[in-house]
Amino acid sequence: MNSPLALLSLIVALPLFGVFFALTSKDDADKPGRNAFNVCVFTLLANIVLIWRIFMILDEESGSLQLIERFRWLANPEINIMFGVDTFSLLLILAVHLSVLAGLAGVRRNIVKQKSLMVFTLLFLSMATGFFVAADIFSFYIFFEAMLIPLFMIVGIFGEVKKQGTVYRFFLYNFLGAIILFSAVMLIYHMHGSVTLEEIAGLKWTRRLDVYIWGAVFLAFLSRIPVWPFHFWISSVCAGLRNPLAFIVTALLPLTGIYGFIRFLPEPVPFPLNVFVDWISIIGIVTMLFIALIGFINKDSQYKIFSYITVYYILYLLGAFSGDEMVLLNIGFSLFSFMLIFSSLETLLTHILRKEEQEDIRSSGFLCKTKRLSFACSYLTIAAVGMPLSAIFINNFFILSKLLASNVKMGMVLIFSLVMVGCTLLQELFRLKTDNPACRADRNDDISFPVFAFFIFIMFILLMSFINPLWFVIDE
Amino acid sequence: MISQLFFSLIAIALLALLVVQGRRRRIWSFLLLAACGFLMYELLLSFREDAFSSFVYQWGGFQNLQFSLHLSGTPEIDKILLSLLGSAVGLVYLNSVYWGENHKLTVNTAVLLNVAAFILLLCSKDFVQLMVGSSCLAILGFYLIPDMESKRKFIFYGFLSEMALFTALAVVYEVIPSMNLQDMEQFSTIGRHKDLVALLILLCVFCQAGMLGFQNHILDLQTLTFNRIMIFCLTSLPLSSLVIFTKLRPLLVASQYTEPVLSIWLAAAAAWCLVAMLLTDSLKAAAIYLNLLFYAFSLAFLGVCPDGLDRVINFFPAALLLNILLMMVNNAASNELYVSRLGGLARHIRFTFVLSLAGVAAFIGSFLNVPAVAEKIAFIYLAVVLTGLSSIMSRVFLGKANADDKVMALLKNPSPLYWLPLIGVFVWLGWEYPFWRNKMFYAFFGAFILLLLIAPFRFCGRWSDDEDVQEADWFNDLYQIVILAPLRLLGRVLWVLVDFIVIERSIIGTVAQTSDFLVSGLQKLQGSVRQSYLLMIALGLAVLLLNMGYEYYE
Repeated sequence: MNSPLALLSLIVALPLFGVFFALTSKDDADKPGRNAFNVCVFTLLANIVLIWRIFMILDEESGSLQLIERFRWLANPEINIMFGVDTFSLLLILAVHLSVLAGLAGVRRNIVKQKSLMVFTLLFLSMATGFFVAADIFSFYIFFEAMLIPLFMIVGIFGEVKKQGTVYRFFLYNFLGAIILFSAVMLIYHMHGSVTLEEIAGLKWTRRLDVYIWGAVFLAFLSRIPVWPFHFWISSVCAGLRNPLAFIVTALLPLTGIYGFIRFLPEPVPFPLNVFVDWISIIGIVTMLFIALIGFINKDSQYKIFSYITVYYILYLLGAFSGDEMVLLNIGFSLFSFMLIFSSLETLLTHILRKEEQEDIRSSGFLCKTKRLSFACSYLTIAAVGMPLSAIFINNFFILSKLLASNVKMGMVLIFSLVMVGCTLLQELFRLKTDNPACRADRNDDISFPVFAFFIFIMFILLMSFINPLWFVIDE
Repeated sequence: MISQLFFSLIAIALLALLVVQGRRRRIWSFLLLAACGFLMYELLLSFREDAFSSFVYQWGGFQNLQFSLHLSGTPEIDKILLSLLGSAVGLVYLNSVYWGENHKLTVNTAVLLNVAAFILLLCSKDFVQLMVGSSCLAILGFYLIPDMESKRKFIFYGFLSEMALFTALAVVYEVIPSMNLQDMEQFSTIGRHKDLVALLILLCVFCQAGMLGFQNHILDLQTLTFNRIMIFCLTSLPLSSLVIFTKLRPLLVASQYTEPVLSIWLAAAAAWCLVAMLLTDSLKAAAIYLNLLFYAFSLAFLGVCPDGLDRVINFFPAALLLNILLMMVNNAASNELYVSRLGGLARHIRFTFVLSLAGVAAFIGSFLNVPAVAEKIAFIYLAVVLTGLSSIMSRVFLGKANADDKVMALLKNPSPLYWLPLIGVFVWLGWEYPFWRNKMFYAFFGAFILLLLIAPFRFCGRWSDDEDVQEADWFNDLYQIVILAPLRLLGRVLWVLVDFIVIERSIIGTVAQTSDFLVSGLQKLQGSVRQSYLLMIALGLAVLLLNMGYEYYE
């Protein structure tokens, strides 16, 4: 199916137009960056409407990429930019947009370098969208690396705590990943020319090249995923950020690694890939347990959210290794809810932490005085731990059953890690809800009504996604 | 009718939530009671007319992820719901008249939603509806508990039980692979990990029912008022354990360990509850132990009578009765909670005493009408309950008077709002179970009177002032020492050792030092010394020559 109106290019380009408008927006003296913020929100909303429109014309049952768009970039060597989308990738694009929107709700009142933040966020959004709609290996590689530029700037500008070390680690891991993937892409191009993502899984090489190319691809994707020891850069970035939008954008990065695995990995996994997969599975399980335990004892709320994110990302990674189409579909649905949940939780928690720092109030007991926050945090936490308030509940059931089928012992460790991170989040919720006389928060510290209304909307989406993950799609 | 009942309950509850902040909450509360009464009447009519409705709605899914909402009635389901709705109407009435409850409408709404969640659980025909029903009861319980510490424990145990159920069913799904509860029979024949599944389900059931070792969240309910304790114990998460136990029985019997684990655990739970009842000084704690004992009995009963869920739910009014009796004593004694500060009340509030004896008689009678296979279990249960209850009642009504002047001056019998419905319940129980014809009734009741008069366990009263005994929370301490402390220690060690020493210091440090070394080396070469440049050119030429030589050789 070809795309009418080049919709895919439009959803990649629209944030770039937004960048232009944000850059040229006038700064009000009393509200610096407000116009840029509005541009960002409107661009996002416009893109969400377009994504919704794409859902309408997409064949949900088809497993292959649709709405193909092809643009000639270079004639010799022949390099094209090719876009295509399926339900899975479009769902992730929508989730990224909604997550960023949740992050924007948390930086509404930010006045420090707001314009830069908006510009780089829009740039990131454009690159991330480009990454998810990329249909050939070059487009994939370009957007895979291009999204690091705005991210690097965001972390550099808003990395607040231990900025230098954070940026150094960020650069080190991602730069290595980029070089490794570049070499693999070059080799693939050298052997087979410009290939589409759907063809990669079927490509044949010599044994030695197989080991090298797949090893490089695996390492490049792993550098984005918080699997030991790659978790360290993400943990240090996430723990240092006090800007919810920067945190959310950074925490979306592992998604690109998982998506890469899903797009690249052949089914069934041939030799020698299965050796890699086995090793990564073992390391992934150990990392899950390790991060879950650290999150349990760590007192930093940001780290707790990070541990939750990590454990779930690894769960999705392990599910992706199964290669089962049913599991992949469930991963898509579950990821959608997961991203909405963690970005909303992060925004709300940052609000509390910021109030704690600004007004010197104890965050313990904060939710006793702030009803809107309390309701939103309770709902999102209970949904986050896997209760039937979002699609995570049912979809994780399928993912876990598949993982338990492959190895019950590893599956039990995995479930133990899920229980641990669940307890970690609940522990944090109750810390915030336990009445504390030292907490001087009052009703004025609550989130505003528009922000609350937005989170009610997010909760509504989550609840509806539990009933039907594609409830918003009206078939034409 | 069941679907109508389900949606009506939710609609009424939502309506109540809308007016919860408004005025005239007591009137709204009674209106709610009237609505519940009407629903029960309708259910009774449909039950008598054998009009069992069928309701299946394909509610969710995408491609091959299809689930249905089943709300179809069967004679058994209707009977169970009738009993439960009866108990719920009683609880709504109690909330409406109980002076100690300030949030009548909220609590009544919670009762209705609990019943709705129970319907979801009871009518489930697939794993998803079963898990959703159970989780809904856990979430509703969370909002029913006002105290944060109790809430915290409740949600942790609830979460643990839900995860155990989730895991067990995920393992089963991977083996059979079907979501349908009817297909579980296949698991016993082709199933792998039978023991694991059975143990996980037992863990879920024990956590929900608050059996020995998993009772902390239930015991913490002592901070709640009596009516909330009753609502929680009889319409919330513990109730879910009975349905799960019944529905997932094919998975439990597939393991050879189920029966011994269940028998040993329930016997230990009953013994522990008895000892705790003898030692406790709090009337609320006694009520909670009675409820825990009831759940131990119910699980044992279901263990020998697989189709006995309707009978177990039919025992609910009787179990509720004992709670109400203890609540009445508490009310009569100006809200005095401690047994050691009461005593000799029989002389002052004779009517309450007689009412309590009548209540115990009705209670005994209710449990004598059981199938022969469960008779032994019922007798053991009665023996344990009557022993514990007699010890408390003996100290409260017949023991030495320890109440202060204020309490003694304000002693009063309960108002007709309490005792009139109670007498109605006695009459109904007498009509439902004509126990006076049963010889065992006289034996048990006689034994109870004897125990009341002799009070062989009165020596336990010496520990009523002992804080170490009264506030002992051994299991909590055990969890802290055996599970939480090692996990925290392990987490800290991993954090410090792996994150900081291995990654930060070793890997990142090495990379940083290596790049520093390379940069400093290159800086030296790029310095102002000509020899350095000559050396570089010479090295470059050497590499070029080597490469050319290699190509020539090839």
